[in-house]
Amino acid sequence: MLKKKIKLMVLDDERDICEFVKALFRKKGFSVFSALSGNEAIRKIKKIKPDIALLDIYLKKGLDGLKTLKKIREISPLCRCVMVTWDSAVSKIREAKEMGAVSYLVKPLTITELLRVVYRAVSGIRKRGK
Amino acid sequence: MANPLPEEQEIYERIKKENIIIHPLVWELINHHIRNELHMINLIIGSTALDGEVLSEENARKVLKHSKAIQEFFDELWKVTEKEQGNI
Repeated sequence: MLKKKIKLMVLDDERDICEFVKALFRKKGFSVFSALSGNEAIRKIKKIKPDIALLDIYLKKGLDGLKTLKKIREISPLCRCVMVTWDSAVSKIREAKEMGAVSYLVKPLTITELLRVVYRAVSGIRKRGK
Repeated sequence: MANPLPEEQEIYERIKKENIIIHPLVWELINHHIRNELHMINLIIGSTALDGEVLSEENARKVLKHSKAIQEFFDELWKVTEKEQGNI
């Protein structure tokens, strides 16, 4: 179990993915919320200030994941953003990293990979002394 | 995992030798649809296995929904590319 509840946000336009990630991390002791669009994510981030955000890049409408990442970096610079997408293009990975993403994961992921990356982000937060 | 075709290795070699490629637009569709659907199936099955639980009927239905989506995607792709397929 986590010492202090880490706040995690998942942004994905696929409702099933949001629900599953929420259920998975709630079981692990996280406080989790989700957004189905970039605009919804920004509204929630302003209010909740998550520690970690899992961001899909390609979204049906509104801001895409990279534009959302840019906004998050302005609003909540300490939030650790992990990109989760099907796009493995090197240029896209570089762009996301340059914009401040801590990790870039290519779908499909295994649960183990997802947990490993999130716990690595948690470890970074703990080291930062938050 | 499906058993390999009897001449699968030869097919791969021919693809490589003859430089047979898939158009980037088709790759974009394949990546988007297949990777997203597989991702969802991985999450459902993976979290069930991780917790040592039995797959619920609700989650089994979700897996079927996502595997059906893969099938529908391939059907659609086949439909729009059929003319160009010809005989291999």
